[in-house]
Amino acid sequence: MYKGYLVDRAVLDLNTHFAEGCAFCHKGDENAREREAAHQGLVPRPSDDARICGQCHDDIADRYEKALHYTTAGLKNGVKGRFSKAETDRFDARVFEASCRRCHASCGDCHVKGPRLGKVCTGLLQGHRFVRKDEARTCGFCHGGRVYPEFTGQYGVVKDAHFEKGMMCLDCHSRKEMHGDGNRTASRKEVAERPRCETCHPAGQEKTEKAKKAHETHRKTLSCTACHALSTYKNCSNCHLGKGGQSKIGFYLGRSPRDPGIVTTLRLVPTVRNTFASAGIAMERYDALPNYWDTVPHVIRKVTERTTNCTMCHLVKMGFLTPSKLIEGGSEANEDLVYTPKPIRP
Amino acid sequence: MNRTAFLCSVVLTALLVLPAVLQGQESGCISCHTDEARIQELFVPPDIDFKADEGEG
Repeated sequence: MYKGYLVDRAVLDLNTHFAEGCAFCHKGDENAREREAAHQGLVPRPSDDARICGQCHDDIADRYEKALHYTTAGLKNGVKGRFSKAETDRFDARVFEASCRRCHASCGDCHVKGPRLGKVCTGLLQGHRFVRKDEARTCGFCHGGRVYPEFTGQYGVVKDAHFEKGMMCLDCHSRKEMHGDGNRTASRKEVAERPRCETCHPAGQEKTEKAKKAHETHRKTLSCTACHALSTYKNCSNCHLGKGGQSKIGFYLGRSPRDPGIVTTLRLVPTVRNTFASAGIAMERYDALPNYWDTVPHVIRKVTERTTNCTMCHLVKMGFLTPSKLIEGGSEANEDLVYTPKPIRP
Repeated sequence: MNRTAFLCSVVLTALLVLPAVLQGQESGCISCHTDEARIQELFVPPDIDFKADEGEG
């Protein structure tokens, strides 16, 4: 781990970021020769304040200050529908900044030094070079609980087809999506630049008539992942503030909580009734939101059990939520997600 | 040149030359953080509590 603090001398003269010296960003005492003295007043993560980078990259910094990776507003907005007004205030004051917002990404977390989770960090990405991207050590580090290992097949199952083709995170999640467009959004679903399958896979370019007909039939009622997500992705549950949660493999199909007219893949979210009890938040409106959210599992395949055989959904009803399969003690809103596909003749 | 003038000229020269000398010296940051052996010597591994915190239990 010590190598994460090693600066490559070769970059110092080549990169304009070093022209003003280390203390320009990091403060501390450049003239001191002992560690303690040199680190007096040190700012280890200067880009936690985006305006530091904004001194030169003002356009990007202005937009990024409002982007979800920086604000982590999605974490708050995803749960506050369960709170009363008083609980929302308490959450903002006692929980969000201290706990949730630790996950925010500074400029440096993507471009200089890998992000930090707890006390663990991958260190300088390339000897303190300012890199455009290093998905495995940045995206993969923060999103290493679910989507990144799904995508790369680290769970020991099939890899995502896009990863097999040599694509990585930023091939779909563009720089513009990451940096933001200057608008504050409540969740990732509202981000204008978020990826859409149709961008690369427009209708009418299917290779078989069967695929074309399936798409035409289901276009307005099914998400792409309802058919093309492999039936193995992680679901987290039973999370308690400061104590973590558990996870298990699962596959759930049901109505999208954000758009009930669409059937999609759902992922269990970790919030349970006493998740925030230690902070004095009982979630008085817990049942206002479901325990499953629409998700895009990052384990996409062209061929799955559902694309090869219509009966998997229409007769077997594989993966579809039913009242008996709903999580025990869960929200009453889960019942609205149950969808029963129409039977067909085999 | 009397002694006073000599001493003044020495002090004046030192004041003129010293900033340039100091500027030529590498900063403490760079001298440590580009020296692998030094960084390895100074590195203190974080004390990680592996009991469940945020994240999976």
